[in-house]
Amino acid sequence: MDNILEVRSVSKSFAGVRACENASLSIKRGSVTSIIGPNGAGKTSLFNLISGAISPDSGSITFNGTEIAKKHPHQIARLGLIRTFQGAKVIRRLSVMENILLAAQDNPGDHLWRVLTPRARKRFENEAEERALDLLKQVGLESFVDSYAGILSGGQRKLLDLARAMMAKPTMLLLDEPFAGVNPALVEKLVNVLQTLKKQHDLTFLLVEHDLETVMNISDEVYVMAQGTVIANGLPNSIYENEVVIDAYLGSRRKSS
Amino acid sequence: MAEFVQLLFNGLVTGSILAMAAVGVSLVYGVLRLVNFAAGDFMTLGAFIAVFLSVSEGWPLIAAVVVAIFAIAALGLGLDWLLWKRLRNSKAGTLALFLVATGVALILRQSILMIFSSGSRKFAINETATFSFLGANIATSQLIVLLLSSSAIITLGLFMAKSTIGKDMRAFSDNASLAAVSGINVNKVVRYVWIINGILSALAGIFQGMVQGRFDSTMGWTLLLPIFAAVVLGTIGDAYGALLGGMTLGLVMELSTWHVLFGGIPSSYKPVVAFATLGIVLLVKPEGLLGVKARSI
Amino acid sequence: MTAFLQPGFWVFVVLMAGVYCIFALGLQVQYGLGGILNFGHVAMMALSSYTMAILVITYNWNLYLACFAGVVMAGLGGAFLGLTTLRLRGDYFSIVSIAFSEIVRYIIHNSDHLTGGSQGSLNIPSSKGYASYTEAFNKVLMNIEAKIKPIFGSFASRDMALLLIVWLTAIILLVIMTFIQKTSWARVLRATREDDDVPASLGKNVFLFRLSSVIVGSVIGGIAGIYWALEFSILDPADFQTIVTFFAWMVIILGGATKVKGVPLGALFFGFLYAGTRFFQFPPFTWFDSVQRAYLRVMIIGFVLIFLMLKRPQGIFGKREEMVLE
Repeated sequence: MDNILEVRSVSKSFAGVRACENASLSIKRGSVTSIIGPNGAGKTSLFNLISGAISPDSGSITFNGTEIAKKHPHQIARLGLIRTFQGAKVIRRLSVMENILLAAQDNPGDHLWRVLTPRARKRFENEAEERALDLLKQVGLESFVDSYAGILSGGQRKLLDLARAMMAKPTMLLLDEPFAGVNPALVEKLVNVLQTLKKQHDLTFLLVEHDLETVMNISDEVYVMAQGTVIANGLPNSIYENEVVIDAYLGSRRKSS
Repeated sequence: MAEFVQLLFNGLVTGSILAMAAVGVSLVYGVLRLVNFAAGDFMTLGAFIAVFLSVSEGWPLIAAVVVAIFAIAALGLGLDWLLWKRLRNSKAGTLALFLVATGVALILRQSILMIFSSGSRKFAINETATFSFLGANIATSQLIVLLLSSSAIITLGLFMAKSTIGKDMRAFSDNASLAAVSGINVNKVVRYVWIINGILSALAGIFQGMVQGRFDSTMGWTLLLPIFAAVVLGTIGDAYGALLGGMTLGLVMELSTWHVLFGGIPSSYKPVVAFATLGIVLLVKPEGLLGVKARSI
Repeated sequence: MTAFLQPGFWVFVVLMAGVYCIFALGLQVQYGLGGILNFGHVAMMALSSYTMAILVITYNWNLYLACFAGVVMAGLGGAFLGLTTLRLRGDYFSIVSIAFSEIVRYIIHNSDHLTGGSQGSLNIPSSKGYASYTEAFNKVLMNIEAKIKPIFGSFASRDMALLLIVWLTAIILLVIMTFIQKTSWARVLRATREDDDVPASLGKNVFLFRLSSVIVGSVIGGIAGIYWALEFSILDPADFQTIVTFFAWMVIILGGATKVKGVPLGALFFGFLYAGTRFFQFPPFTWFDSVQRAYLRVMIIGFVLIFLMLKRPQGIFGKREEMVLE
């Protein structure tokens, strides 16, 4: 299995504060990888560096062999690397369907001159709507199709976020704290949906998460970050036993079991 | 050389007037999130009131200036009570504030035109008295204006830095909701903002009128562009930035007419120069000279 | 009161409403979809009208080609404004957009040899000895006037002929805009109004979307500028002050800011309010001399603007619940 994403020694500082220091990751194609670590460890910064929201001061990031470190978020998305956001950002004033349709790639209607070719646009929109409806059914939101996304609950927004990300036909998904603030039943549902999607579409996942139990259950590999750098990585079990990690992160919890 | 000294001095004078007006605009924005399009008209009105009282009614200049200051401060407070307070309470958005501020500016300007008519005015000061400095002929009135405006700015600076209300204003400017819940008297801060703005605007208008010699009701509006350029240059909401922006643009505008620079840019293009300068700075530093890049992490 | 009885009055008001309608539509494309607060819109009118006038008067261009060039110029102006300023934060963009239009006006005002300067288009250098761009067009208007006389009777006039052309254009543009609202281009813009990160994370180049809406809006504004020029036959830099942009804002707010359908209604209301009051010969207007009356009319606009934002921001034709004014 080759590496779909390679992060090599990226560093980033903000006004003198080192958010990331020589952080490196290698993500294997088709795997589920999680990044864990205490708050302020640089996980979200690393995520933002990969997704293009910020660019690194040094180091390189390659996705499917393409260097993406200096690219803009929309360019990276078009390469097939799609991310979700903490708290599941939805466009409140658009309907659920419209939110998902945003993700349809290469929509002819995006180009203004296409106002002259309504049939081509309509054809694309119809196909997109069909696919969107399927995705909504998969996550269980089909009854909300025409409702404003603003009325959805937090958990429902996470499902919409996921469906929307899938609509963009990603090769790899970056999930930013997908299980944060979610009740256990929904966690189970989300995990099921993720695993189904992974099998159906041959996806790679990279998550940032604090929910250790779920992380350990679903991950093929775990990276631990602290103070801007990667302090350990490996199979979930090995992380649990790792002295450095225990010191930095797991703390006294480990000693009690 | 003489021309350079002359222009440098002009730049300092223009700069200090711009700085005063810009600090007023920046304070109002920083604390009230309001873009005061009527800023120029506040200046014009201050100048007109002062010149009316001192020239037409024969009042001593100092008295006229003091009354003008009171009037503009009262105007600011009155408008706040009538309009801005209401918009603050209803949590009006950017567009609403912009448009109401424009409406106010329109009404003020037309009122000035209607009351004072469109002729030009002149303060009863001797603007021909000059003295020689490094070969340049500098008007005494300019020197006096420069000294007075510098004093006003320094006084304000000390006030903002040392007084409790000054600290409260800066806290409010940084984070309004946090300041409000930490016990800062919001109404008091708002009052002080309009009072200080009144003092600065009236003085800026009066000084500009004196330096210009003859001025008419378009005086403030003509300066509005450079004032806003100064505010944005120094990062909107930052009073010290407005100071820096005002002085910088004043100097740039005046020195741009120096004949050594490709014959000098025609003086009617000064506002264009001000904005071109702003444009260049914003290309490099989109938040303004003193701004911190507000990029979400 | 006799003003109301004259057909010429109504024709003029409705004609001006048509011009404002097109102008405001250009603004509405930017604000209604993308929430872009462009306050320099009048610059597009200035650019299109002066470009057309200069090409016809100084360079003897065919009028219709010159009109097209004028509209293209407005689009280029929009492109320039967008490219240079759309990356700035919201309030800076608004302030700089005002500066842009003021600087355009400044340059027009101070370039006597090109634009005639403060004396207006009559002063534009012309090989013919006089500076007019509407000769050929006036003949066209008179032909139309002759044709419509049997239908419109005493209402038929040069202004009426132009009114028909203007409103025909307006209706075509309104229809096109209504179709555009349904495209995914519009959908992306509506999304960016709320959040930049989401559309970007889905592959949309948010900057290009915004830029395209500014350019389209500017082109439409340019069309309004051409009609303005043709109606008045002379241009004056004082006609293109920032206040005109605020007229457009008033029009779209009156009509319910995000509704394309509301624009013509808002324009008619505004047209009556502003153009109409010019002819009012009754108290309280007669208390003031004509110079002061001009000031009073602008003051009324100021008051209406404030009243609108305080008491009825959804406009006359919008619904409070659907309001997205932020």
